[in-house]
Amino acid sequence: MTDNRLPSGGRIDRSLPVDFRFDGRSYAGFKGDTLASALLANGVTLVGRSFKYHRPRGIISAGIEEPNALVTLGAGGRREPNVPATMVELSPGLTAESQNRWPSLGFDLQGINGLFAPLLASGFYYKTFMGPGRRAWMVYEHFIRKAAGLGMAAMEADPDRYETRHDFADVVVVGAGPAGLAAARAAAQAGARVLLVEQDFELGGQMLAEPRGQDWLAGMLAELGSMPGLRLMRRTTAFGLYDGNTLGLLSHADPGAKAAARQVFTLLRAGGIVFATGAVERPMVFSNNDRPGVMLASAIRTYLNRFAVLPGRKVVIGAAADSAYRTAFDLAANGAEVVLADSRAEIDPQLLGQAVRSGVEVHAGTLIVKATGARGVRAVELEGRSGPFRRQCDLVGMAGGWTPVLHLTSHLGVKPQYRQDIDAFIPGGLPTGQFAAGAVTGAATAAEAVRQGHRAGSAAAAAAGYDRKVDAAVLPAFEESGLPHAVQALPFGRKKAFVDFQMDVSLDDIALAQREGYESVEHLKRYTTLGMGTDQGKTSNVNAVRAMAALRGTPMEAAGTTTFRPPYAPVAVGAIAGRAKGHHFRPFRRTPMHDWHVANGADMLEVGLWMRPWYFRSFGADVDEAYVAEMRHVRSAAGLMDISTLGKIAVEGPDAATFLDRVYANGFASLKVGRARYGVMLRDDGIVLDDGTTTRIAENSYFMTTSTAKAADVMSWLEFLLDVAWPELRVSVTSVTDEWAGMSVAGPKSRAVLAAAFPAIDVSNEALPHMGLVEGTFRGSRLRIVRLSYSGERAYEIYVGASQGLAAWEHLLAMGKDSDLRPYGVEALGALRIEKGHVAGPEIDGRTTLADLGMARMVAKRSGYIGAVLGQRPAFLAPDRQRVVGLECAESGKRLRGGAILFAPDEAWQGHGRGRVTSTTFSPDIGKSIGLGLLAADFAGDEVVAVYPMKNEVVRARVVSPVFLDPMGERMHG
Amino acid sequence: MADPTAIQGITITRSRCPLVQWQAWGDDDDGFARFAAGRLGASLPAEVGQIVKSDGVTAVKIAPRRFWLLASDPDTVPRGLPGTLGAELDLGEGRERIDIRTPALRDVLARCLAVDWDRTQDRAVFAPLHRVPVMFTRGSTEHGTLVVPRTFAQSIADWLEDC
Repeated sequence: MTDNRLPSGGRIDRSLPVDFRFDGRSYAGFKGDTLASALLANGVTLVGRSFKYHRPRGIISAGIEEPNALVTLGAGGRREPNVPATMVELSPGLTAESQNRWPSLGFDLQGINGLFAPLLASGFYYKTFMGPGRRAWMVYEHFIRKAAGLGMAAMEADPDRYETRHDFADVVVVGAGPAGLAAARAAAQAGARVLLVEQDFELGGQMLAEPRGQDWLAGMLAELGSMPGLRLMRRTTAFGLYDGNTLGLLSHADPGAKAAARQVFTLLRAGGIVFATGAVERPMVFSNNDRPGVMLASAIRTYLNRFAVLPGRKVVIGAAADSAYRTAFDLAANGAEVVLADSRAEIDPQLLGQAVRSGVEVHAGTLIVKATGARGVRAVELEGRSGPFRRQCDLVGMAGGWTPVLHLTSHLGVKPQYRQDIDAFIPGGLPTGQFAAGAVTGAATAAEAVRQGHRAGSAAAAAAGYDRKVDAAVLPAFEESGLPHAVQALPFGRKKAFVDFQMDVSLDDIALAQREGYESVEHLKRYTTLGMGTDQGKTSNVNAVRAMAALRGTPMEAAGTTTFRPPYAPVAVGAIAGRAKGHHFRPFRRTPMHDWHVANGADMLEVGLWMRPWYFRSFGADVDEAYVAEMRHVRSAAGLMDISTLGKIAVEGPDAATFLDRVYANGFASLKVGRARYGVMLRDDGIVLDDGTTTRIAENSYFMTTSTAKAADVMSWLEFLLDVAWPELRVSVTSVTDEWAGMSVAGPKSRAVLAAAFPAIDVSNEALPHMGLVEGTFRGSRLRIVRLSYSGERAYEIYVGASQGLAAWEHLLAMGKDSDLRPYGVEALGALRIEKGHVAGPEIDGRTTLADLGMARMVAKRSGYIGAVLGQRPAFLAPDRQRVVGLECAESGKRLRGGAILFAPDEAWQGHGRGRVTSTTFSPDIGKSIGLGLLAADFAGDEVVAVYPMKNEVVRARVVSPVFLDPMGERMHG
Repeated sequence: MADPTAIQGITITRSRCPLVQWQAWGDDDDGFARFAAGRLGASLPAEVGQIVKSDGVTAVKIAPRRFWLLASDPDTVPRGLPGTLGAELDLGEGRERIDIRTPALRDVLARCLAVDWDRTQDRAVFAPLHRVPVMFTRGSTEHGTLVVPRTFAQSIADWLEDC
């Protein structure tokens, strides 16, 4: 095994050796290494297999842009696939595995795919696996997915903890390279609270690989460390920019520390943001440019200077930018034999002079056209002014120019701008409070980056309201050349010249996409999958855009870029969820009687966020048995229902009557104090929004109830109307859902229950008729009894202050014992209302009008209420409009099912039919399955077929009145 | 198994939250202000989120023209706003007060609430906690108070205790 570690140098801590395993073998590195640097130090260059062709792949980069060296970390529930080895901080006991290979990385049987590459071009499977039947693809897909792919996710639950947090700062600086450090210093000196976010575990960015910049970096870090208003977040990636200067951050735990959470997702709100996100070096495109040993020149320099790793001894560097020379000089200084192929015709004479002094062989106007070697590069073929030639090598550097990391700046829709002089896209015009500095803007030298960072930091602080005097920028004391990049010539026609390494997209694939009409970069992306890997094409996008621009004969700016969307880097779902899982997945709403229900045999049901009693086990072993028994009990004796979940809104003020008169389709101005009225609200478009009852408590005070499901919608709607439509009305609306415990006593013995429970209150038919209100107190708490019925039985809604809800519930049960009062659940409640023909959520589904629900008579000739005008649209009056009907199962032993499509008996079961079943139940009174449905009004028959294709169910049903029980309302009014 | 990320030494206390809401109609601001000052013994807060404390009553402006008056004793909460000036509503049954005491209060808040710690001094903050709208006020660096909807109080207390 080759030992590529240099005897001295680098920022690693040689006093702290670190053992780790890769593909089952033990290796050693040092604290301060990444997995990638440690593998290279140990001579491991083959680290993975490619997505589609299973080509051997090595390490290309030294950062988050890495497309090739993806590994799986850990085991069991902690297994994490597709992690770039370049971003893995080496820690004791780290275990990593290569991916997408079988039986081994060195001998991968599916490497045979590469032989069929000409047949496996982009889109081949969509063109090839089309038949014989429509379902054939489902068979093929299984095998295709086995043949291609990345790592495998864990199947076990992840035992680690994840956390979500909120954070605030006046100025956030994203990126701790020279520009970011300078920006943070300036902003903190201006007096702002500054947060500096860096994805690496070390601060410094490219300066970490610059031997001449170490003193500057040390001085800057020391100064920043002493600034009280500045916080640092290492190992933290800003992955998304959202409205209101909000950034999504993902922090990884320090592997050397005992961390509370493995990853932390932070939502950070900032006054100002400085994007100092730097740039990534662009690969060059030539045949076999994906061979292990072909790396970005900047990565070679990073491994050399930061990690003290010499990845090769005989090096050829393809250059289109001056930055390649620094890599060449540093390599030569460490004993490597270096050939530099510069595609530019003109080269800075100073660089050439230094190359001669360093022993670097420079070929101007020369391109690498092909790399050779199987599992590692062995030689390159070049073409220069004097024709083709070949060089033996064990390492190839690519310096194809720089691509600014502008993703975050574009997340809110800011279009990048193309800068011809640097052949790159830079951030477009940023909104107020956002600034960019350094290489992301195209700055070519560290000194320029520092100057820009200093300015941006000051400006961001000023935008956040801080403008204390700031010291002058501290510039690094070394010189760099920064001649414009050369525009890479793309070798169309050469095979296996990869543009997107991770997704195995070559120049040939892009040419194919263009020939087949996928010319837009957005189409190109989707046709070839270019840029769709876990690296999101960080190294490939610009080369791909240039290729398409060249093929189309358009300038780069016309070709544009694809849309950058969050996340910039992969984010674990666990981190977004944080503690919101299991019991804490969402908050639960509990009524005041919740604990009683649980303690007394209720099976609870989640209804939105509410927990409600579904049924009580004292009535039956399961819901089907229990709810029917509960229904029978309510119809024959008395039942007690917890209705605290109903939306409750206090409507107060001198104009409250006017307000309600406009809000409800049926009039409310005439409602007398002490009386309640059923009301229906429409949306502007004439569709029914919700129904409920409103009781006039006093001249200027109303108590509105809404359905449980629509409570929040109605509240928002009323607030909107008062704020926007009628601000002149003196009306206050306040949600009082939590104020009141609500319970309903229903059944023929309900009045007896009330009389026993509240002897001081006259609940006779005369004193408390249907839709009447009486008030009182219960144990010092306000008490309201409104006579309303949802079940069709004589019923009373009883409201007491929430703190006395449980006491009132227990009091009613105790006092109602002689009347056999028993609690019942929502399943029975729903069934009782179906028997009575009352519409609810399944019918008020956002598509139905008053007429559809059989309520057109309620509004008669009224006008001026919301929805009145648009409710008269012709489409709402069409003769085939679906209206509420009753349905009675016509086949014994069968039942109706909600959602079934209704057809005429003699028509084919195709399309949307004549209507649908909305609600169903078994009716013990009728002795069969019944339901409500919406059926075309022009359907003349008295029988339909209810078809439920998902379960192949077909049931005949009779069309009847929706009121199955007590159509005259005698039970309710008696 | 003990949660390794849990905040140690946190005390969560739930209690009733006597609370009256006043909403001014806006057509007689002076009259409303005079009435409020007379009942409260101090001027009402001028900005949303601002707090005024007087005689055991905490007045918070929760929205334009809308105020919450809170006290630990229900009898000390001012009442009696004339209907000509605005609407008065007793909301003491529908809210609970959750007091959080911990040296790590700032950390607890960061895990739960989008609150800029440095901006919470003498201010009431309205934000969702575990997706529930709450009001937060900071008594000290180790003590904060949440006013939460009663029906969500148990869930929120559970969430805080598991911090």
